[in-house]
Amino acid sequence: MRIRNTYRLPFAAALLSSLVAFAGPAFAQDSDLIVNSAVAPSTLDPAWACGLQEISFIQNFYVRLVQYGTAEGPDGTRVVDFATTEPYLAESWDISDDGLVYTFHLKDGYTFASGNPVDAEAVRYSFQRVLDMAGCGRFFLTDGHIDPVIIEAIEVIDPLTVAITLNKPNGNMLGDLATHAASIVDPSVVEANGGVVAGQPNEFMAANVTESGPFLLESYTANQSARMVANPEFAGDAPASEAINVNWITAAPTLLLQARTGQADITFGLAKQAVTTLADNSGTRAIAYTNPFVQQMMLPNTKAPWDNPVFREAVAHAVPYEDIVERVAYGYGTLYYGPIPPSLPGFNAELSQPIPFDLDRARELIAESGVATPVDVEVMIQEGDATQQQLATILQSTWADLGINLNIRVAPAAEFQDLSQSHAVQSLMRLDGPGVFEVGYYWGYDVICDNSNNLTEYCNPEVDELVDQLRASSDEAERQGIMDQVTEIWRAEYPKILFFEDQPVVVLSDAVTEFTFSPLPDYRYWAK
Amino acid sequence: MVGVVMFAIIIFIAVFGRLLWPVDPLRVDILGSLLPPSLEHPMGTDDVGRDVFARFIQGAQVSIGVAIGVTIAGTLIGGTLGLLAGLVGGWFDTIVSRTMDAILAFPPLILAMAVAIGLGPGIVSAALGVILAAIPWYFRLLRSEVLRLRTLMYVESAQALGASSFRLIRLHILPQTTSTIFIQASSVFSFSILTLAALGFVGLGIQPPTPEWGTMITEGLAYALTGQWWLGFFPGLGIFMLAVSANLIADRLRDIYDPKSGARLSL
Repeated sequence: MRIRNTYRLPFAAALLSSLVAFAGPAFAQDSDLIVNSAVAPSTLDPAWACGLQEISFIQNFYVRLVQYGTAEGPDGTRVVDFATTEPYLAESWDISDDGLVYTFHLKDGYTFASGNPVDAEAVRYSFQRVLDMAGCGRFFLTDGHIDPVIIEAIEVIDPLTVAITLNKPNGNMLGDLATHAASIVDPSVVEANGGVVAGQPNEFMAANVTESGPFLLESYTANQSARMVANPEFAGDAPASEAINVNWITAAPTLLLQARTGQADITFGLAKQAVTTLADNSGTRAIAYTNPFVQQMMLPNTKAPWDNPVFREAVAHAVPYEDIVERVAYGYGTLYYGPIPPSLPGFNAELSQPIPFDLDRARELIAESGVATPVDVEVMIQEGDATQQQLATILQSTWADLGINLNIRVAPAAEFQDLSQSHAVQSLMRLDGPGVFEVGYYWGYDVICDNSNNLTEYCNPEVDELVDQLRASSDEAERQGIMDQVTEIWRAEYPKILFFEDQPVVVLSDAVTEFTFSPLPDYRYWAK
Repeated sequence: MVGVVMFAIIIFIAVFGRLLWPVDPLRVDILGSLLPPSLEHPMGTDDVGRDVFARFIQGAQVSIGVAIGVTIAGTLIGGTLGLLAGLVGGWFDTIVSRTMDAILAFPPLILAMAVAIGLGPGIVSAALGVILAAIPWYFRLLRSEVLRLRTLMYVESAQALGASSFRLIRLHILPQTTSTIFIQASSVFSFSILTLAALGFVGLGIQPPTPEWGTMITEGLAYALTGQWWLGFFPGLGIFMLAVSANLIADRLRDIYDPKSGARLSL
């Protein structure tokens, strides 16, 4: 499942949120680590959560079988390393020679907040729940192999041993089990509150957590704030902070003001231009990281005029990429062109050179394409997203000289999501990237034929075959060869416009002593 | 006088601004974004390098144009219904009056927002929302005027002589309500400007990239603390000048048409 990263909401919501933010959290204490973020989670259910905001919040309350490792990051901080998986609830695991059976040996002594043991049956129940509910979580847990579902059986061998059987090998299975979707929930609490209904969300779980992880959720007001405290019964490593107060503030000026004054210890979601104003601010530091989220314009390859590859190539040459990175991303963007974002393992910089901005070349290609101009095209952007608005406005002005009349359709969040997923628009813009940071997973929906999550509707059977080979392979050299081959094929067909890979910027107050960045923030490693 | 001068300035800018400042309000200059006011850009540039003064001019045209449309439509619909309800009475008066009461139960801005949300953000739905909110004001005012005028001797005499309802309205009632309509229209004009700006401010009004003052303020809000004050200041100034001048003119008109005020026919 792709993740859409949303930094902006309509102002009406922002206004309400800012008023609440000024009111301040009811239970915050001076020693609390204060974390401000622009967008609030819409659900707390790991089986249902799709977006970055949900995932990053939920995963703090649940233990998983395995977890991602960490590595050195910029400016004395650390970063989560998605290339490594380490034990978490599982002490060790065995993988059968054919790669189909994963047997996990669990650590003893882990309990839920209710006092029930976190055992093999809880693992089985949690995973089966995700599969049965068939929400976003299933896509993460199965690495996108949902037809048929790759997990054939989940078997409790004994209270501390659980075996997962797949119907085909999958080199990325451990990474999937480190995601939020593999969170271990408390079966007794879930069953007492609606249980599992196939294909349906659970209302209780959407607003509550059944903690098995390092934090307890002490208070939570949806779209406003939450206070989480260290779980004293957690058998794993204690989190770096005793208590964290989280505020979701959609009003950009409020978010900036609290970051600037040091009221917030950690701030996510500030606009890049706002970040530049903090360069000389004493008491704070703004640190840029990388993640595979890309500002892009989907050109559905089956819809005219985008069904013409030469016309797609033409518009790809009619984007002032460098100016956009300089004045829209304010330098916090990486230029490239290819199916693998630069921060995903497997990216080949040599094969993914950015496309030059060349209007003359674009004119030649339009003439060559046979598409009659002037031509009207529509792009959908999400209401309240200032970056998308800027990009659409720039393209509208630039393309007008080429005889392309770009009509900008601004859609509210729900309509945007519906129209995107139903492929009902001629083109759209998104800041978007994979939910699991592995190329096979990403391509499993983004470049293969007949997948509803493939918003560009790109389809090349040769690429499909190569993606299948990639996902079945664990040989690094073979994988890199396949990825390079797909990159070359994909680039030649110009399926979409890639403006830049976004570099998220986090603002830390000088009080922060420990910080580990992740595109899906993990609060365990943060302290002041 | 102050009101008229302010109003005249804005109207002049809206009508002749494009001739005096022929800059394309949609022209993007990325590397020239967020420039402060200067001779080259009297109101600075926005986040994609568009000239704010050119956008201010087009915003004035849009705001004034829509406000005039709303005022005329509200006057025609609300005024006509008020005249007919006052004159015809009976079940027609009852039905229309209760309908207007129901509309009045909603705060005008909330009503306009509800219409804009229901029909989808845009210039037409925003205008319809404001018109719907303005109609009851005209209706109630005109209806009460007609009820008062109907009891006057000369109207009753005309009625007794067999004058048709149309003749009564045209020759005996409508001319007496002209001053009321003018005063109300200037108030509604001011209300329209503010409501359209408010709808634009919350994203329910005219959609970008078409410049509209309320939307421009919203776009400028993100830069309120980063030093680019001109993005929100100038459209705010435009709204202020237009709304205040319309209100001042409405006040003055009321004084002029009020026989007890002793005001003379000059603004």
